[in-house]
Amino acid sequence: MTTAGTDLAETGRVVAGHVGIPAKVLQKVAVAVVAETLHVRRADVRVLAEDDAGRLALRVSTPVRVPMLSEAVTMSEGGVLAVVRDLQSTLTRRLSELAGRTVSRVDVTVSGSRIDRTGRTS
Amino acid sequence: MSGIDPGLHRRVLRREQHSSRSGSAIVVLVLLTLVVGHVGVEAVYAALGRRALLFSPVDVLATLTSSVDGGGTSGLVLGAGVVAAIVGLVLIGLAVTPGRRGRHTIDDDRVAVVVDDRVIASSLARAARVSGRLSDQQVSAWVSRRRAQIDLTPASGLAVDEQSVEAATRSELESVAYRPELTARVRTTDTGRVGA
Repeated sequence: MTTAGTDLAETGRVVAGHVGIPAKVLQKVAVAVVAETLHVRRADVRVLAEDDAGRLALRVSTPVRVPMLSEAVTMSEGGVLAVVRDLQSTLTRRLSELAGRTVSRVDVTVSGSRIDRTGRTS
Repeated sequence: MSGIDPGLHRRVLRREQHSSRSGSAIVVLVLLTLVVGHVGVEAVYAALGRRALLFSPVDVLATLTSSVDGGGTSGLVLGAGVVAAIVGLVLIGLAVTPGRRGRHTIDDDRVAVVVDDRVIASSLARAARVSGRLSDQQVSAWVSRRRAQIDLTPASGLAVDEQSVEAATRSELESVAYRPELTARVRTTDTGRVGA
């Protein structure tokens, strides 16, 4: 395949070569995105990357930040479900941007809640 | 160098492309010689009125016919029959099948060229790997007599450029005149690999 190699080199557009992203790395990227989006600790987030008929399926298990119930602060429209829906679209978009992978499904399991403390008490 | 008989190339290439049957022919002929020799020796012994050296071939025939006539089949006769049938089928198979060795030839005026199918397959896999920017675990190829099949496993979430792979493999095949001619087929598997 020297012919193809020189062809590619001459055109200068594409360089031959494979770029692989191991599953572990994809999962770490997804963990980082989830932790950033939901403002939770990375250690609390679990992500499993799987194949879904040639596309990427992610299984996310993460706590969700909720405001203190006694607070006057109201949660954003739609509650926890809206947060999760938002997370799904953010995760899909960010993984496409960062790793160039098309995510076909994101399963989210809410594993707990983290109370959002406002600055008043501390 | 034009003195080479054109039939020689053809003969050599045919020999290289088909597996030899001389081994089985030798075995069969040696066995046949032994049987004929035994019959001959026993015939001489019988003519001289002496006792059979090993056993009389006539007795063997009698044993066989007695079982056919309904004289009760012995296990030995049955076993011998089954073995003979299996050996016969194997020999018929060897005689009838072409015995191709999974090789292709390349047209050339000067030299006779034989290429193993695995070599063609790996060159196609390489072309597919380079054009599709795939890792070597993602490409598998095999070559049969007239077909080359290239299977691509996509990385999950990353579509494979099947068309460019197909074009690359086709040009790879066109660059060498394999005989019999090969047509390439590129197929992407339904399931991908996550960490590729």
